[in-house]
Amino acid sequence: MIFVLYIFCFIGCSVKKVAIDLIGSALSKEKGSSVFSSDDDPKLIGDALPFAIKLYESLAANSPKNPQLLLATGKAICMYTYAYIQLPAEQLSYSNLEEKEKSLKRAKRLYLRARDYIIRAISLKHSDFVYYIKKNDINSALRKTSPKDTSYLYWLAISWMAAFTCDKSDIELMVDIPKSVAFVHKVLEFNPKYNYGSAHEFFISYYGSMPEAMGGNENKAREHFAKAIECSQGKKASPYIALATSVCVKNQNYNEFKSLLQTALNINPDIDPENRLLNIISQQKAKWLLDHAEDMFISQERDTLP
Amino acid sequence: MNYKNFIITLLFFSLLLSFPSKAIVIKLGSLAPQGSPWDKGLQKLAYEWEKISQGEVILKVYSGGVAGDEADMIRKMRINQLNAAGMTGVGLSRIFPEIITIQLPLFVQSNEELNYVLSKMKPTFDKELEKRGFKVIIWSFVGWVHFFSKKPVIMPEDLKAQKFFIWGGDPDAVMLWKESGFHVVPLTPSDIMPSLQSGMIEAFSATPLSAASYQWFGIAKNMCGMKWAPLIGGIVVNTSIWNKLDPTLATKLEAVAQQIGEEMQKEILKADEEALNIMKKYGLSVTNVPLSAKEAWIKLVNSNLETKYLKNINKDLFEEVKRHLNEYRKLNK
Repeated sequence: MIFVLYIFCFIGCSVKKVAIDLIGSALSKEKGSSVFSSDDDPKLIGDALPFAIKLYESLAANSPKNPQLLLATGKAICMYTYAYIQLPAEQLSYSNLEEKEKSLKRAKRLYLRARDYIIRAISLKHSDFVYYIKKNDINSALRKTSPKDTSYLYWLAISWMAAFTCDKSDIELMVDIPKSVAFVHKVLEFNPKYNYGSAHEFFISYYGSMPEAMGGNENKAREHFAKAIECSQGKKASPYIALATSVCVKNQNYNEFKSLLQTALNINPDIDPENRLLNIISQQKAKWLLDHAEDMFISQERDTLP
Repeated sequence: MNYKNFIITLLFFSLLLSFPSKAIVIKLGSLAPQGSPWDKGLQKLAYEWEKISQGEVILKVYSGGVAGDEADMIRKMRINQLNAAGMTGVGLSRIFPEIITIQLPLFVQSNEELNYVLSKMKPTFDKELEKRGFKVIIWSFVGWVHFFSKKPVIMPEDLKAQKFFIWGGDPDAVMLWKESGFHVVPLTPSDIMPSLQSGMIEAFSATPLSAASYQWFGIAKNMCGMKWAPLIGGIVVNTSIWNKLDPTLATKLEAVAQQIGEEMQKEILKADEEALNIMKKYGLSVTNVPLSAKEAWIKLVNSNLETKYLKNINKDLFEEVKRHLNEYRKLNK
């Protein structure tokens, strides 16, 4: 009798696990996330994503050895945090300093949560990855990775770096920047056109905004900008914004800043359904940047700037 | 008052009410990266100033070096393109060279000594800077400069054996290091990382926070435990805009700036300590400098610092700095 009960229980548990894995795999496939990324209503997605994240997390808790599901969970957290927490927080003025700090702290926590999901996912594929990362031996950590790990490395870099952008006083995260840079270099090595040039976009901001003493390099930023535009065929607004907010602000070149943002605003979001939501959110950011240019450019005579 | 006059008077007053007095906009440049502890302090200052002045004073902060380096910011302030700047003691000594005396190597040797001497010298420095068109609203301590090197440094000979980065913008300092027997390589800070990688330099001096932030410690894995020199900093406002403020309001703005400056200093010192701990975790080795070695360094510094490096400095003022330092040491024996 006990044996029969045990068999039933075992079968029941297995069925549940198979079902969770199936749902998890369906959700974690690219097409699963395109339901969100192709939407044209940022508000609707903003309301839906927290529920989706919790669904991913509960599936991941029941299926902790599914790397695709762990990656999808990390990705969903990252996307939500950027569009709905970090971006609005960064647009708050200093008169809302307390609220701004609170939101950025929350964004940092969520990015780190996303990072930890993705680290878990990579560890399932490469058991010694974490060991080498903790030893700060990035080359050894990356040695066994293959093109199949491209998305994992990209999202790991994004979540880690984004956590730092929310709290630039966190020295530990600052010291970890070279790890993210190495991961994205690996992404470029595996697939230079990954996600319509997303890895190039990372380097526009990195080389364009870092001080020279930390590896900043305007020429490299512009080279990656050209490649990002080529990969996306000019259908994504985000590379234009990345160059405008990094190199143009640093050079105090308002004319180029304005021209890049206007190009971003002229992109028809419907031209690339897969990136529709990202383009709409990017265009909202472009508009905000143009409206707040005087906070970034010292000269009042913007149009006469070289 | 008839009805017509009443309407005109009402219109006149409503027009007056709809045109508030024009706000004074103070544009402040800073090298501190956006979101760093310094930048957060400046944002807080902007918020407090706007609140205290009820919108009459708007502080616009341009962080991350978009206003140029310290020399650029001073030039821009002189032509009113910029009205204020956050600067290190090196930048401030471009305006009033005697400020360098407080940051001399192995001279002031502890936070307490620095606080004492700076508090005594502040009135003189403030007055001299004001004469040159700059009002100091915050004085702060940025951190202690140490040597970082590929091979450990204890004695002066250990540093002499390595190619040492020195900022090329100070020819007198370059000359002094060379004459003292060091193999110096004059460069800009942006060259430090590639030069460490290529082997063009093997050592540099910086605060722990800078060495960690710029990742230089990853290549130069040894830090000399001896505090080489203190780095001070401050925020200055162009007097042509500061003097336009109502004196009562200006006093209030200065008081809150000083309060925020103290908070910023605590944050920065905390960050410096945290940076050191993290670097140690990542393999930085800190060498202990025994008293005999420190004496060798002091002897080296004293041998030609005053006669050569400080030849253009006001001797009386330097003597005053020395007097305050000795006074502190006597009081705290």
